[in-house]
Amino acid sequence: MRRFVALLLMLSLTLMLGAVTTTVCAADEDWDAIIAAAKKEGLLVIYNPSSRMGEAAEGFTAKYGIEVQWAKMNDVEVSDRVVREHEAKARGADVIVTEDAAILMAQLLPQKYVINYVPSTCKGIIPQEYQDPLVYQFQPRIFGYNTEAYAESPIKNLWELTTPEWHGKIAMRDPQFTSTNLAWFAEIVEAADEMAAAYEKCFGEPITLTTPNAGWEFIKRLANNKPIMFNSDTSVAEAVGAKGQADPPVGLYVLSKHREIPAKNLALEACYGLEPCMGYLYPAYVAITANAASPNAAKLFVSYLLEEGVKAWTKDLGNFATNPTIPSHPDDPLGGTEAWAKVTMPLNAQTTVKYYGEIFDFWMKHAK
Amino acid sequence: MGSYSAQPAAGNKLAVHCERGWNRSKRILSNPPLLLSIVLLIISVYLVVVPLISVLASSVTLHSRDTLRVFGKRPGEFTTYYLKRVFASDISSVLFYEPLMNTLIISFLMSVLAISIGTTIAWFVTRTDLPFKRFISNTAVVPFILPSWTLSLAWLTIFKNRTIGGTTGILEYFGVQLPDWISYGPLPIIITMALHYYPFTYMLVGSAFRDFDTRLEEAALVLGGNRWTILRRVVLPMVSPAIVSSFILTISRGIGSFSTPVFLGNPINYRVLSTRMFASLQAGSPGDAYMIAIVMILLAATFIFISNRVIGKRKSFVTISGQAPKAKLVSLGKWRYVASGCILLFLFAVIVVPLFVLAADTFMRVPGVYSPSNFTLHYWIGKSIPGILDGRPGILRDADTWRAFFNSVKLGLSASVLSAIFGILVGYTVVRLRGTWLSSTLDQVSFLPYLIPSIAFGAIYLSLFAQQRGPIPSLYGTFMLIILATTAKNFPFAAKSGISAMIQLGHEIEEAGIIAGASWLTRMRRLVLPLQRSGLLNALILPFISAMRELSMVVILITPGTQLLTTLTFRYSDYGFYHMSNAVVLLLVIVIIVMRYIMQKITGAELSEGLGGN
Repeated sequence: MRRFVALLLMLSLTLMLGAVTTTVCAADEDWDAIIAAAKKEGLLVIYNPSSRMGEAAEGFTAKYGIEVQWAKMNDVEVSDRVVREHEAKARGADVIVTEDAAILMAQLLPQKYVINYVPSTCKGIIPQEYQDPLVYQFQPRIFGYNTEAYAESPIKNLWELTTPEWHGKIAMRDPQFTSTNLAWFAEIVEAADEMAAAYEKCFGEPITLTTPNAGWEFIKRLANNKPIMFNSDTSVAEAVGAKGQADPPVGLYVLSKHREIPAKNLALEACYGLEPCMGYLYPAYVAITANAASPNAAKLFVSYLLEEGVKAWTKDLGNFATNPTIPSHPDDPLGGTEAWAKVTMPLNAQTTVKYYGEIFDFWMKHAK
Repeated sequence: MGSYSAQPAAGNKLAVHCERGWNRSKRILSNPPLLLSIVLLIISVYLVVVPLISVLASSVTLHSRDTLRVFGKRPGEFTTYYLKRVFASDISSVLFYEPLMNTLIISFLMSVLAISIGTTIAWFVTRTDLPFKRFISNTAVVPFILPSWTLSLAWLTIFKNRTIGGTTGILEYFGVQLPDWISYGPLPIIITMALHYYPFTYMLVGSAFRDFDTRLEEAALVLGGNRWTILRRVVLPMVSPAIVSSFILTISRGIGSFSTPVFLGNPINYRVLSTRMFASLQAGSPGDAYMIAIVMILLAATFIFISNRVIGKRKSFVTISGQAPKAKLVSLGKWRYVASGCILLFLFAVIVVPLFVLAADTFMRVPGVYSPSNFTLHYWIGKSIPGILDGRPGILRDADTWRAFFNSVKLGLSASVLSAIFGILVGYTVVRLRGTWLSSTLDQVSFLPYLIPSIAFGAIYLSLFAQQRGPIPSLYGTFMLIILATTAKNFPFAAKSGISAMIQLGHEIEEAGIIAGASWLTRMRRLVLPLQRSGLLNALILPFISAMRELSMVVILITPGTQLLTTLTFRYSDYGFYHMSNAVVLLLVIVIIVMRYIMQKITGAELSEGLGGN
């Protein structure tokens, strides 16, 4: 229930914030003209953090005959490049995808490096709350365990991760370079009461604080417990799920890595039932650059991404389109975004921005 | 008389002044080395000093993303935020002090080890009657031409333990339990870096061993010195400038070295300044990064200062005259085969074993399962399989690989030719104008890129040349930018080899040319350049190889259209596609070796000749 309230709060805040960001209102667009202009522009450049953009790009090229150059890069790289290209007036990205709400809401949108563009074709389809800034999909990043070593989830409560038993046995992407992990920490601080309650449930006694609240306390103790840092979800999933390990770690990785279980011969399962949350749910934002060299192709691509392109992700479990006409994967054990939002902490752009200045340093200080 | 002389005196003063000015310009114009040095100085100031100033400025300027941390300031405003954060905050020890200590320890020990290995092999190859000398001489430089992280990846493939989860290395697979200090951190970093950098010493010291006049040694022998006394009192002092140079070059490489600590240090959060700086860049804190970069530059500058004090006194040795004295070799007697065997075994262990281990890994379907049924060619020539490695085809089928391949070759060729030209011209002018401030300034400025860690160099170039500056358009995203940065980064090596080649050459030969009435151009073309063939060869091949396998600098400058083989392999390993990464590294190794062979054929000489592999 709290999750729902949080989600609602997040949505309403997002809406409020929307009032101040630049949104191109696309009520009366002439799509035939846009398509014709896009074909004339010829080339579309995309920066994004997911390698599956390649498939979406191929689909786009096949449909419209417009060449796509796409590059996989993290949020910091995306924003750095967009800013530099903007200032250099250089041919750079037309479309960007980012998962870092702080960068988008505090830098790229207000400083007008990118524009939040919602195609008229999608106005009536994509739920209002995902339109500003425009989200094309959600992904859960969850804790998972090795099924060869454990018959069921070895952790029932997040606080167990702070015990000596899991010292050096937690695999995760390094929060320094993973904006979404930092954003999750911000949610944990925001949900301090819930974390305090979970502590009591786990250890049967109220928490003794050395930091301002139970949220900070959890982050500190997690950091002190020396998690193993990785660069990619692929590596985390392998670290957790590789077979033949005597004492495998648990790890935090995107649910969609479960698609690689057969190909990589992994023994991997999500920690269902983990309290107070089994991870978090994060949005992927898509925007077009303010001085895109191919603005029409960019518009066309955003529309394509929302309507069809996102299937490159949703064909596998662990990716949820904001477009309600694209159903979640048939193997989805929970059944859609809302269900996942209940068992995870959905990231809230406002919380991310609120704690942006503190979270990173706090983590660094305790993770050494 | 008085009034007569007073009148023209004023005019005379002016005339004298004018004439002085005119004479001075005429002197400059009629003095090609002087003119050349001014042009070279302008180029190197633009490509080196301006970027340095820019990094200083960036470290005290508020970055736009940090407006969320530092309230009430606008992006671009002056700030001491980064200064405080890096040197005097809660996280200073993580951001700075620990990485600093780690950097110093690693660079120093790694250099000592590299110098010992390099000097030992160089001595055996150039000064003794070692069997298989030619083969050893050719092979000993191979570790340096391999990308430096080849050894790191191989180390992990063999020694990786279970601490960081995932598949373990070969040893753990066979039941050997390894502690962390063997698998990761300082020990493997020091070993693999020393094994990568010792050829530096080997080549520099080897050249010195070969080039010095053996008559000095013979004279000492005649005077009754025994072999060890001669080694200690004559040979080592003569090559000590080369050893000290090697040490300086190696240690400053160590301070800036990035890829080895990334692979072997990051898994256990063991960071050196370079990886900490890259981490800050990646984490979106360029202010912290530039602050750390400045410390790295100062650190390396300190070594240079020390080296100048040390070598300064010895620099003036002129050890080559026109005649080539026949070297008299130390006879190893019955130990010659033992020595040869040990060196060959060492080379086998540091070249063949790592490459074999990496190659084997690229043929394994599932990592860690060592059985014939697990054999696959998928990572090389397989068709795309959805769900595996993001559906990428084998690297030889992948258009990305080939684009990266041609880009790498293009970069290697352009950067090596440009920096070789620069190096020879700098060497010539610096030596000919020795003693003037132009000479020492040019020498120092062209050496500056060595002080700037590659990563910082890349980052600075990115921010510096992203905008139009004067007549030079924005180079962001162009291949030109990568070529420029790589060339400038090669200046120090090019200049050093140019200078030492010129020092070795001595002035008498060109003086003979002057007496014979040859013009400057003729002297350059007919005397200086031909005599420097082996120097020229080094000045071409080494920058080519280092450009081909440069990663830490270009990784920041690369855009989708300008991907190189090195950045491709780094990206793959970053995303956990180790098979692909290993396969691209192997491809890179093959390309480098083939290109080296071709260049040797074209230039008509072998690298080993420069090292006395006769």
